[in-house]
Amino acid sequence: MLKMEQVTKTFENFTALNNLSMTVPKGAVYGLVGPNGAGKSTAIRLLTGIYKPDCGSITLEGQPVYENPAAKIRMGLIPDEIFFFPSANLEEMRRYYKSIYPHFDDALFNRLYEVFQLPKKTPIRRFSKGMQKQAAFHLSICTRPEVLVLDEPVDGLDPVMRRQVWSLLLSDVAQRETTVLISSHNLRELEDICDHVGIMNQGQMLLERSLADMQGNTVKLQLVGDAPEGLEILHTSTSGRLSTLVVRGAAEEVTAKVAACSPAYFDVLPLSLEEIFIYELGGVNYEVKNILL
Amino acid sequence: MKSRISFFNKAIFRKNITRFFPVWVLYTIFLLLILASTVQARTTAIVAREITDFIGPMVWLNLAYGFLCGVLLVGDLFQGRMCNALHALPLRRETWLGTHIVTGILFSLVPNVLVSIVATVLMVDYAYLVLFWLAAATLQFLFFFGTALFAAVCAGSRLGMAAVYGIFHFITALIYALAELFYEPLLYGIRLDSDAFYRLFPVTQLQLSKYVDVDYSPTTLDLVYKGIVGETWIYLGLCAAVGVLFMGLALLVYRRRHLESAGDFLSLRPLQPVFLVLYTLGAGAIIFLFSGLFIGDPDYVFLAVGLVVGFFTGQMLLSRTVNVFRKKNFIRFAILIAAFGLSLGLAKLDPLGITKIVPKTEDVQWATIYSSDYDYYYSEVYKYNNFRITDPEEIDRLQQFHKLLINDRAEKTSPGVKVNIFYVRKDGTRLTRYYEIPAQSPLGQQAKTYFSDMRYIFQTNEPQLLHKHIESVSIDCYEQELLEKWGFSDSTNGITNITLKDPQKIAGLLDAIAADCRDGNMAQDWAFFQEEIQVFSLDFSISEDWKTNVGGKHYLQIFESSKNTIAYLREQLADAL
Repeated sequence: MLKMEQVTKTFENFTALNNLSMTVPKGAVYGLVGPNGAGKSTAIRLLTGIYKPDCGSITLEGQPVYENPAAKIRMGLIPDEIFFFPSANLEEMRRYYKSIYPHFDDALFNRLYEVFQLPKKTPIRRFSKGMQKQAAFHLSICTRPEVLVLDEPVDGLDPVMRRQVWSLLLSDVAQRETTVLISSHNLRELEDICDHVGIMNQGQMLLERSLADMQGNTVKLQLVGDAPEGLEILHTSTSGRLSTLVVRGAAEEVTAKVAACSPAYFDVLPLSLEEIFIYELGGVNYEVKNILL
Repeated sequence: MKSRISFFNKAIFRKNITRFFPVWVLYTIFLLLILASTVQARTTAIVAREITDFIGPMVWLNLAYGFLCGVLLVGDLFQGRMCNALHALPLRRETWLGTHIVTGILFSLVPNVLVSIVATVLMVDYAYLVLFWLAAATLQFLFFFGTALFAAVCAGSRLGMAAVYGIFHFITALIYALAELFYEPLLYGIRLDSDAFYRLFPVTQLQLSKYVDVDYSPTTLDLVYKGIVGETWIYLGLCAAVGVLFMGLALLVYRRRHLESAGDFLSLRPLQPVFLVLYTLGAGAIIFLFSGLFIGDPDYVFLAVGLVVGFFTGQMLLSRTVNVFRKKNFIRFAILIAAFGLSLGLAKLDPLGITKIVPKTEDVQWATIYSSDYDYYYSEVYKYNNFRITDPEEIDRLQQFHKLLINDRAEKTSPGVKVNIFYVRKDGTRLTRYYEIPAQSPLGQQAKTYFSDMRYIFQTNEPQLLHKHIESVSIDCYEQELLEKWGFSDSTNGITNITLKDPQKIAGLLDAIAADCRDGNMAQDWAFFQEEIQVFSLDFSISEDWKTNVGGKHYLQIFESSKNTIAYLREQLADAL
């Protein structure tokens, strides 16, 4: 379990994280989402022991992560901005990683050459952005981490390669029960692979729970007629006589309350992660503005 | 459970060696080329001599190479992405920096050893001199590399690292220049002790010092080893220890470093005001002095301009924005200028009365007075001056003269004469004062008496003692009347050279000089004799033993007022010709 408790991180006068707590359960695929500037990348740098928190603690299975190679050796990171030694090629990076990570899987590395088909001897800095992402994934997954932390992992990859990467990731999770933390803005993709989600805004965690709980706890209600009293309505929109409401609560509970009022028409639908994201953040003044340019 | 601390990692070491191999390979080739150019068509003795002479200039090479190694090995800290990627790896910071330290030392040691082996093969007889070179070059590198590492962890960018490194190595020169430029003129009688400053300026001290005492044998032309200069090696050892200490400090700073400071000018916040103050004053001094190059005397308007430019460009560097013209910064600038002005005011007003200190007679062990045109080495002069006043009455007279110099502050006029007074107190403390007074003033004439003293001229009060050490005296005459009388009127330069070898005549000459010394007419500063004509010059051929152990002048200018000497020379030379 990767755990962050009451962590605050400031950069000069700017507070990037404010008493942030989050828990990534062992074996979970955790999606960390939030608007730009929410503090996701900072949180990831703290979780992987790059930055030192001003206060609070970050632990992996109870061990502190910062300046602790024993904990860091169990983690793999693919940052949002990939960087390698300026003139290094993939083979040189393999040798470097192999000498640092004792569990580096050479056989897997060779097999992945067939998947990614990256040139071995070309300096990585000459790769395209997408190829550099592939190279980072190629190297990281071969370190056989127990926790894989990915910051925008498929950003810049073509659709085929995106699928390939997700597929590799999920097979690793299935085989080795790898814990995965993914930060991404592509909520549609996250919804397919994550089982836990944390939504961050302005350095704080707004919501953190399993995706099933999250989707089961908020529903979209479409009805013709008045909404019954006692519903916790997060958002309302109207099109003609049809009202669409986002309501907090289990589908059965909401259905029962609405049915009791006998509206002309109603339907209770599950929410997508993207909709949850938008409506939850709408509650904290981060919503899509109707701006005409 | 926390991992145990390791200070070395093979993977990083291998990566350093392969990643930066062009640097250490080129450095090795460069040293070999220097050796090759030294060896060309020379005897091994000459080459060995040149190698020992090259130890000093190696300072500049190590200054640059130490910085280069530091910036290459630790420069990844300055790039945010690279820095983050490397610190995500399962390595402690101690391991990372420790490995870089080992690598950096080897980057210098391995090329040096290789070159030493080649040099030893070329001149087996002088292998020990090559070893001295190797030891000195390695110790110098430790000093510069250690400080470069410290500069690297304090800085957030290469430019910032260069600034910290430059400040560290040249701060003494900068402070000395500022003090000499702004404070010394306000402190009447006080001259900065350049010795002390140069002791704290290793770049110059290490470069100018002699490391090994060798000389050519007059018979065989072989190089004769006389010993090492212990003082220099102690200083070098201390510098190397400082380098190692700074490696330790670098580790401490690095452990606390916030990686997000990558790209900032300085990552260690407490250094920012120090940098800003030095940069502002340095810029002010430079622009002030440069204005002097174009408009004659430097103008204080340019000092003000330099301070403004320095402060705000310094702020721009620190905050990485040109948007620094804010109220907060103007207040800081005002505080800085007020502090600078206050310090200048205090120097001028001298509330502690430092400029008026004259030691009490009973406290003084000995004192001396000397004139010197060699400002650069003025504080060294007393070391070679055997004119030591120990008689309490004489000390008292000197103090009276000193008090007159303090009370009758004279405006500098040309030609002026320089008067240095040096006291050694019984408790071992020293006091040096320096005054420039008009030569023709009453005080100037009093100084002339001191500078005519036989003890000052020849470092002895006993002419007969000196006489034993004089082999001959070479005399040049400048007076046209005498030359014509002697039949040298067609001499192209109006000068002739006569050598006096007779011991009796030399003794007589010394007696005549001693008489002029007593009359106060033998001072050697031209400023005292500006209205007079130089009649003779005397060049004494003195034994090496006297020169080494006693010193003093062996070249005298005889002006019109040195009547006794002139009369004697006229008499003797008339006979001689």
